Amino acid sequence: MEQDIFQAIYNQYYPVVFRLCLGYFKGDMELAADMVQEVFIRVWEKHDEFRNESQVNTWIYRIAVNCCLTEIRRKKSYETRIQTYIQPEGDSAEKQQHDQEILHQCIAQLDEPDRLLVLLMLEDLPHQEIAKVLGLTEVNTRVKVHRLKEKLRKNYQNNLNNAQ
Amino acid sequence: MNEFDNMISGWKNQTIPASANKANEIANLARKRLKDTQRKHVATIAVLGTTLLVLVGFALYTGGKSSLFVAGIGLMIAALGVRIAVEWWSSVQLKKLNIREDSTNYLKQLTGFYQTRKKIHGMFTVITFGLYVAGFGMLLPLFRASLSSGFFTYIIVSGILIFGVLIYYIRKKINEELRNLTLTLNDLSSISESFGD
Repeated sequence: MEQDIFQAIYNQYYPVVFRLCLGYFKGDMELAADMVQEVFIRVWEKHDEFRNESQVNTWIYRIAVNCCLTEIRRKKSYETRIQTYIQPEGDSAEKQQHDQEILHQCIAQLDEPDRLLVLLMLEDLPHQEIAKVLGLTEVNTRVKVHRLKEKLRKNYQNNLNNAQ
Repeated sequence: MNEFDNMISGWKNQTIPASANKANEIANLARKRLKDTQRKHVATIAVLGTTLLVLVGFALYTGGKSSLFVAGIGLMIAALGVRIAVEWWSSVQLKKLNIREDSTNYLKQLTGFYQTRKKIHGMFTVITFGLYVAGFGMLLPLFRASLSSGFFTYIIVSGILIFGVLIYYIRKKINEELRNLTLTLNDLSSISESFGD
């Protein structure tokens, strides 16, 4: 039964967690995959506590964000690898849509707290839930989200212009 | 659809590579890691604990009554005992970090944990190690009086070599750890400030 619950959580949240980790690690697929594994190992360790919990969503996001924050400890070892956005190589690069690449570049330019917040915004989480994940007040969250939307929009336009 | 909605749509539609592991493989990895962590923890305590038992056994076996002997062996036992207790306490603190907390609280917990580690790796290690060496040094006159000169020389030379290597290694590790902890704490502090502003 517990295995079934974990299986369901894993299947449902794998893409979401992967996107979040990919954004956090500025497009580095390898680091993102390692982090996704770490996140789900931590989820497994706690999965018995998910029973009777209505907001699994919030828990998963909290674990994912906190795992990324824990990685600050090993920042030195990976920061040289991911100074800037890493464009995927090979076939995937050809298939990658241009606007997605620009978006990844914009995210990579943000500092860690803003990057995490933007990644939650891009998952279309309501303000209330972002506030619960990050432990902010709703008012503070709303202000930050508004500010970041504007910043992201400007960066997006700049990067778009530079790319042309 | 506004520009941000387009970004959300583009973000969610990006191609995600298939998972390298299935859910049951992740579960197996988690189980293995749990066992490995417990094994490593037990091994650390066992090594330090065995040394402690040897010291206690030595103290009881020789039954030294001189105050110098009691003070010397007492210092060594106390330093090692405190070190074991701190190792155990630190692992308990690590387990207490609650990854399910909201990020603001988690950052506070993480910062507190690293601040404690910084204290442990700083003066605390130097003091406990210093007390251990001092205890050993207090036993030397007793060794000279009761052991052959050859064996005493062997104890002196091996003692200097072992402590020398340990001092070099501990100093190197402490400096490295303190540098990393300071950088980590600075990063965590700026993130906490940014979340809080």
